[in-house]
Amino acid sequence: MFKIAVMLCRWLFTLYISLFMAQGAKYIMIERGLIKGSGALCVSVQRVSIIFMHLTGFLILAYKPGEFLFDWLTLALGGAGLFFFLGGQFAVDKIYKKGCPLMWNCVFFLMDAGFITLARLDIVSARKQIIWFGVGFAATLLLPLALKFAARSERFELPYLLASLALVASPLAFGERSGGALNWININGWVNFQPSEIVKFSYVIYMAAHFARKNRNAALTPTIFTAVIVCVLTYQRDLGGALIFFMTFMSVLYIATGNVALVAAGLGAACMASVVAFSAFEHVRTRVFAWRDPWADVSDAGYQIVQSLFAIASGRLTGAGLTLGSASYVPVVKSDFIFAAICEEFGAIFGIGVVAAFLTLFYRGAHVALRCANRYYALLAAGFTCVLAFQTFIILGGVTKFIPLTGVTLPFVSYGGSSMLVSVMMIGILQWIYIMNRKTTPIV
Amino acid sequence: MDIHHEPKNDADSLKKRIRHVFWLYFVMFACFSAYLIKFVASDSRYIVEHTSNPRPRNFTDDDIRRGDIVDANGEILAVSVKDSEKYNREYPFGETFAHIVGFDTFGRSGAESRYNLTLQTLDGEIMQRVNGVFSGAPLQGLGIALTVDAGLQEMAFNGLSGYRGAAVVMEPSTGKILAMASAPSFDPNEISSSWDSLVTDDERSPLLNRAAQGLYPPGSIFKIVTSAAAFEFDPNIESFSYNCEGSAVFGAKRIRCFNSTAHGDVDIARAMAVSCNTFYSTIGVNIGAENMRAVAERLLFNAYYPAPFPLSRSSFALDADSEISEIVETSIGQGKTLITPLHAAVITSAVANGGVMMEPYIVDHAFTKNGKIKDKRLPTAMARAFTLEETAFLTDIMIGVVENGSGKGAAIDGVRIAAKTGTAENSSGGDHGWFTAFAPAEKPCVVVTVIMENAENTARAQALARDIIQYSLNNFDN
Repeated sequence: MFKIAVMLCRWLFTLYISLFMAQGAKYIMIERGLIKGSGALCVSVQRVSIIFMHLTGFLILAYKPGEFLFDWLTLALGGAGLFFFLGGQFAVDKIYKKGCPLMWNCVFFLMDAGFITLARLDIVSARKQIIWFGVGFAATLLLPLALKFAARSERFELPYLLASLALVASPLAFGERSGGALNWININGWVNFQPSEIVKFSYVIYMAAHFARKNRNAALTPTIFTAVIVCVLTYQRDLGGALIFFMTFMSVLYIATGNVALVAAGLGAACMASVVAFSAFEHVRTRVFAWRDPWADVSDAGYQIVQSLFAIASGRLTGAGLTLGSASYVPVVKSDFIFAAICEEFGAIFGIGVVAAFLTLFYRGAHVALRCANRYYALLAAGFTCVLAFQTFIILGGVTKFIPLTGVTLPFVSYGGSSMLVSVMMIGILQWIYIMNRKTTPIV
Repeated sequence: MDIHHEPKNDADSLKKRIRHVFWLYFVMFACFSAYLIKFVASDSRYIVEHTSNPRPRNFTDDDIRRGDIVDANGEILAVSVKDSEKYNREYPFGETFAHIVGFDTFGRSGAESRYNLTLQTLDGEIMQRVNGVFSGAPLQGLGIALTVDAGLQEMAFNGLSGYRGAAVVMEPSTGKILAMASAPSFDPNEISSSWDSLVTDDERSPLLNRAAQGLYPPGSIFKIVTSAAAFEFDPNIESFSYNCEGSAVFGAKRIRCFNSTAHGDVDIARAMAVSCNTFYSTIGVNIGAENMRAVAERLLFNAYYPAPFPLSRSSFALDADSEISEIVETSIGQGKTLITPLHAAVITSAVANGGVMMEPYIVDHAFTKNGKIKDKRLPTAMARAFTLEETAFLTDIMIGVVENGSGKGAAIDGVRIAAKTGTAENSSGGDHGWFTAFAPAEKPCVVVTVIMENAENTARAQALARDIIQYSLNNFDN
């Protein structure tokens, strides 16, 4: 009986995500004046569908088939999650008055999809994750206050640069290897964090500050700076991180200077660097071969990607049903490969919904950048959006064999403290810029 | 705020470029979504059935009644029957189908292993479960219908009795396996009690599927390959003639014809018909090692090809450094060349099918408990093995083998059969007897390859192939 219920719930989840997507699209159309209607209503319906998704998910997870009982610890975790999401909605409404509700909804939706999946895979990680939700949101809620005191944050170009360099190099001195990559620092054996996550933050501020100056076409310093970061990350075997920085650099460079020749030169240099990396580093070759034909070496080089493909393929369009899949076979399924677990149990339609939520977020990010009358803020918003967009693309494409796999976390969804903290804070800054520029007329 | 504001034009071009970048990632994510949908909607079916997928192997749901396995005419080959508490798997045909159907009672093998996930997949799962709660009807997994014909399989298996060996029957235009017998065999109904004696029986190796995994020297059936290479690399091959004296020396090696018979003046058609070794050694030297290797590898020697059961890889060893003695041995199918009976049948099928080599397959479709057909398999080509002119040439010389050569034992009145015999010297005792054929030569509907280990000659293999061809002509409408 329980299995039947879970299987019927697959359609419920598909319904929630369809509703969420439809209301998001409607909101944007209303905003653009394409149709008439109430944007506030769309936002409310979205919130309700998140709450229902949360309730459905945790009722299934907590139920103990055969005993006709619910597991209290799981219910408590679900309750804490519900409290967090409701409290979070309330707090952002208060602190980020007149922020973009669509963006918050997407963030909450992604966090909740990740949270349910985590609770299903490993309840202990889900408990830690909710603490990180709290930390991330607390930091985000304090941001407007901090920014009020640092209104002219663009003046501190050099400190940003030096701090970024120190952080990105720190694992070389204090770090430890995790999954082949030397990009983690462990503090007191308690918190593991990835300094390169924090660098994403300071890096974008630096880039925006630099290109907002009068002498804005001086691309030499940022180029060298980026090259150093990319090289250090490559040395640490964090290829995904290196790729994110490189793509963000190219995007911001293009937006700020519009110098197509420079961008083409950068892409050319990147192609040459990839060829060099391909022939020089064994681990780069392994990745590329594992992407070209993971089936050639199913038990070793292709193992991760093949297991991920098995998970996504067994989910088909509507999923196996929450708790009925076997995503635990997928390596690092809680962080990098969480999208495979989502696809296995919720189905590919839900997976597309996750992609749509991300895309809405990036659309809003671009929207925020477009409304800025001020060059610094426009670049800042565009830069953060690029970081999130490329990171999302790299890992979604990687776990589905669309592009070669380089391990990074899926923002808002994956298990991981520093990634969650930084991603939410980026949204906080985007919202803040959005609010700052509400009064100016956007050129959309 | 005192941050300087943009001049209007600058601001506009900045916004234009932000839009460019947004459209770039919009396109990226759109491509990704399209890829994901395509992957799940079409590729996923083949991926979940991959043998490395841990899901089916550990997936044991005792409530599910495993699907039936039936032959092309609906004859039941494997069925689950419930005793007081659980389902037992029964195999009505016993050892006849053992290597194809396999077993699910003591580990898994054969189709039971390869299609395990399908056999446990519930069609309309929610309806079945709801129905099960109210009516107590069992949850029924999908059945699979094989391409194999039970009557033909029995004929092939019984024809091998008394020998170790294998027989493969295929439909050349599609790659359907119509029968695939391997002897000696075992009874899958008794597998758990006989397991220990089966795995220790190195003398007979009954668990080995000789058809797909047995590697044998091809002997003279390899002359089909040598003839193809001659056709491609020797423009005058059709007018070339050679005086056979029963034996000849090449490099350090003396090559003899069967019983040292002197065949006199022979052209390629006659040499094929009587299987003249000295003729083929001569043209083998003319073709050269590297050209021969190119043809062999195009025919998938030294390669794996897709097949729904475990395969051995046929091997071809010549390269640029090979000695003359190795080249001549290889061109008559001796030396280091090894081939599986299935691969011999696949190559023969390519000749019969105008040069297109079809992927061999054994499951035609799955079906629901109401008999609805699902996942119908479509034939797929896996290589272009020969040109049309080449197949016409090969078919002509292979017809001569049955009409006035070493394969007369397979002749059927009123039917033109193209074939090749082979007696392969080997280290295990008497020569292996090979026979590979297709019929009717002008519009082939059946390919049959037989090997009988240590049979000394090909008479029994020819007789079995003749019966199989006769059965196929009577039973398969073409």
